[in-house]
Amino acid sequence: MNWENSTWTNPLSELERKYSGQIQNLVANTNLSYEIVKNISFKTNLGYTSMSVDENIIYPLSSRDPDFVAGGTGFAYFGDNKLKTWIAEPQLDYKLKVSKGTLLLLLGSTFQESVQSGKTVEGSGFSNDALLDNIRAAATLNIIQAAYSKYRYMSGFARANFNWEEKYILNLTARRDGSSRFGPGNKFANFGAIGAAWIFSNEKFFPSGVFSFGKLRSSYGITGSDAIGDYQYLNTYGLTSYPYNRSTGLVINRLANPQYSWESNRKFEVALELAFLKDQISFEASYYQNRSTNQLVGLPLPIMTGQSSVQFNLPATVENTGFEFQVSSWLMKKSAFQWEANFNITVPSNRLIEFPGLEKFPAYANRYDVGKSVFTIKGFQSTGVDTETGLYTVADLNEDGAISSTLDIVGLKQIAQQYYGGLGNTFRYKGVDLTLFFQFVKQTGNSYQRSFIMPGAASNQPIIVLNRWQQPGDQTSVQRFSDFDPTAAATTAYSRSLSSDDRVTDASFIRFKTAALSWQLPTTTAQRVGMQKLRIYLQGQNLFTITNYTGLDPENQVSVSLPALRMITVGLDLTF
Amino acid sequence: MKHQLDNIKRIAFLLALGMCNSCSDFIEVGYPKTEIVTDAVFVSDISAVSAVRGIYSLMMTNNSFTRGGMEEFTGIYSDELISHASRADQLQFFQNALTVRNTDVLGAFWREPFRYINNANAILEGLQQPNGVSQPVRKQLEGEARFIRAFCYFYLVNLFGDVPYLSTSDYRITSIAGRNSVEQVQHQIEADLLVARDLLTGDFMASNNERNQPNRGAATALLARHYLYTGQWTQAEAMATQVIDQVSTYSLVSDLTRVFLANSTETIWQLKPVVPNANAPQAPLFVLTLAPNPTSRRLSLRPGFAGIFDLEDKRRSAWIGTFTNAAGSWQYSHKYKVVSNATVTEYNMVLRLAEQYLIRAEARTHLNNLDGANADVNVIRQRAGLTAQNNPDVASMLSAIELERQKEFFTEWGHRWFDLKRTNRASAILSPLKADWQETDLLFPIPDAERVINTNLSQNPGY
Repeated sequence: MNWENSTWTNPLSELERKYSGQIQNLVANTNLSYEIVKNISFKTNLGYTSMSVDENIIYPLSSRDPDFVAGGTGFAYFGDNKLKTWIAEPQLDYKLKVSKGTLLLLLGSTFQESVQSGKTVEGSGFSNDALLDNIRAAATLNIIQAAYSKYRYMSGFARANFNWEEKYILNLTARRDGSSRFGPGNKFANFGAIGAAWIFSNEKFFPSGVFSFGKLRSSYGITGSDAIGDYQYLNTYGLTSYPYNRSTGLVINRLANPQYSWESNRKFEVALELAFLKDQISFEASYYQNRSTNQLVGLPLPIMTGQSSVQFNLPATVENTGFEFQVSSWLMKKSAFQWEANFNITVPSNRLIEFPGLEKFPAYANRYDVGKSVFTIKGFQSTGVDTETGLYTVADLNEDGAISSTLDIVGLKQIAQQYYGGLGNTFRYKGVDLTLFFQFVKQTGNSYQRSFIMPGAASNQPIIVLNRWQQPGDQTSVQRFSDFDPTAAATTAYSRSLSSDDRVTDASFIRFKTAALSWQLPTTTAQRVGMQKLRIYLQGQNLFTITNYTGLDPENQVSVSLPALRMITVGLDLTF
Repeated sequence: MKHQLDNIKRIAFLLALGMCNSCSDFIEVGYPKTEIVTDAVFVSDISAVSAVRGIYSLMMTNNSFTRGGMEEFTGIYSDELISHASRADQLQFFQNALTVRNTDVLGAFWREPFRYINNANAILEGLQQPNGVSQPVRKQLEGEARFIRAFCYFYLVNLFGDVPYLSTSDYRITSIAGRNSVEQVQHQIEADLLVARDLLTGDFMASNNERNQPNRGAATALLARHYLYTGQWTQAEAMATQVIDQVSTYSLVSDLTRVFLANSTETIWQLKPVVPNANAPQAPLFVLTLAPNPTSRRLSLRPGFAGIFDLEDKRRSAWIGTFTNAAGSWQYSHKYKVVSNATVTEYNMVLRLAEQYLIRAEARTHLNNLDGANADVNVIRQRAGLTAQNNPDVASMLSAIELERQKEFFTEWGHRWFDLKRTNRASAILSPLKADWQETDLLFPIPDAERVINTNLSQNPGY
């Protein structure tokens, strides 16, 4: 294999390296239910999953640059990882009639455990490449990774549901959750929710005929989250990759904050559901307000502390509010031809309500402003390409003569969705079924140019770089070509432009997401030829997109990887 | 009905009991099996020793100032080496145009020493708590941890100037620390080394009779260097003498090709290679088995460097190699010979006896003991096969020592760069060689990534 005197890595060497993996997955679930006495039943949901992954990667000698492996041999990695989870959810139900109402009481609990373990062994010193799959043929074995973590979660909860004549519904929940992911004294937290609904169309005083259904509902609740890694509250030492002086080395691998606890989310929702003309038209409008506090984050630390982050509860309150509307209608409901249309739209918004002591968290103070959306991009204000130097420039907002990544930034634009939704139509005529679904999103996003590297660097570039600055006086939007850049002037200008408002662009789109056409043979005809069902279908996904966004995909806004694919499926569905 | 209610009560009671009694036990998961909590590290001698040895293992595993980083980056930053690298971050060193985002400054010169300091601080704290470590081991480990902290701060303060002096592992304190003055940090370096020198033993029993963990000799030698750098000539002479006088332990190796072998008699302290098939990091960095290229063989000695040696100087043939092909000829540092071999014969030499002679010579010069200074320099010259010199005055003596240090310690631990700095010769020597040289290049920049998170860190002038 040609290594050009070690000046490159021959990509064909990858073909010599082989990976094999074996994944085994076992999933078992059981539901037990027993009515102890009338109206009281005991239920349990039991689940067990086990997954194991056996991997092995071999690096034969022939795949390696001979200059670096003088006297060396091929080597191989042997990996073995397991994940075992079980869950048990015993609960007790009690149903009681109280006058005209029904009371449902539920007392339950959840116990869950998940154990993850694994190791990776590096074998080297193989006498022959043919033996690379055999771990015993390695002269030297090095355990390069050994992992183990155990997670346990438990919860006890009580729920009461009261339903008065299908008119008034009240729901109360209280729960106490415990998670092994929090340190002593912080493992448990209490949460609860209250919900109420009024189905006013069932009221006698309500004139019948106008609405076929009408419901007003509202709920408020607090939930918690423990979605972080295990053992973060422990100061721990880990093993070094290699021993020193015959002893295994121990080094700090985590600085711990013993104080963090559950993240909490307070959710409020109010909604109105209506249906008219015998359910021919149904309508739902809702407003939600979610506030999260005590966000669990890895707080960035200066690396001089020895580590780069520590688990932390942020004192911030972030609010997500939004309106959602949904209409669906049977525009045609004759027996032969049916047409149903539905439409939904969501208008979300986000705001950082408060962050006491924000200035004490420089990593966040540079990114967020109280009162603004957390999706606001705090960055430089672009002032285009300098006609003299050919480099991107940004505004010196505080006019101190220097560009500072902390002082000259401003939040002018945000990368967020303004509204989004979908429009669906279903047509049915006899055995023929046609479904069409459009998705629409009004949003701002990252410019496609972010997916590429500096103009002039040895890499694929978008065609717009051909309009680059070339000589003093050129007025253009692309900086001059630069590859060899010892003073880093071009790199600095380029990286500033990457974090400037120049890189935020409109990424709205309308996408013809799904079209599905199918035809089904009438059952009686099918049965005559000995079949239960015969269905032929043609489906298309992501058929086309209407957008002003340049680049491969306004949805993921990455222009160097595959966007959502257009897929066309033809199928035949036979059941005997 | 009564019976039913009893049943209900019993089940409800059991369920409630199950939830509330076992719950706090249920979610106790104990400790991770693959890590050790801090308290468990200091329960025995053997695991406490592992914590100290872990730092040396890191020093020889990571891309660090201790693993060829000083040699490579200060070599191209000063006048020793040519960089053929194409990586922008490496070019910035070669062109003395470091930026605040340079990843090698952040990684090899900032993160790594502070990581070792953080571990050393945790060891010192662990040993202060009630623990299961025996008294002799406790003394030895405290000595080594203090030595490591002083050693890392020596490089930090000489590279960056003012740096935060951290004496705790508590991130709530260290994450907001500002910079201390060079003098304050040097004061702490001296204090640590004095204690380490008292606590450590003079033999190598603690390191399996290898010279790969610092002992009293190492603490004394580093103290001698500290006093030299801070102009405390009397103490520098005294410390160097203490090392030199241990003739049964330390002696110059007459065969120059054997100086850097593992546990050579010249060794005061070496770091032992830990990565399989790797010997000392310097050989794969410097030895040209191919023509210089932008990636794998990115360094060669500056053309003309060999010219500073007299023709009869044995160091020239023993320590300088030449690679020639049709395109040209390049010279490289050949102090270390083994590029790759499963058998480890060369260790990374950190402190060696020859330096103590030249430290003492310089201190004696400043103390007007020119005879003593000439004698010390001549020890080094004679080993190199050169005739004895007699420098008649302080000025000629100092320039002779500068030249002797340049020849003796080239591409070793940044000696040349630090010598140019501490003798105020950097601008005079480097401005003719380096187009972009500025006086403010004497200090590396404080990494911007750190200053964004810790706003108490100020920046050096010129960045």
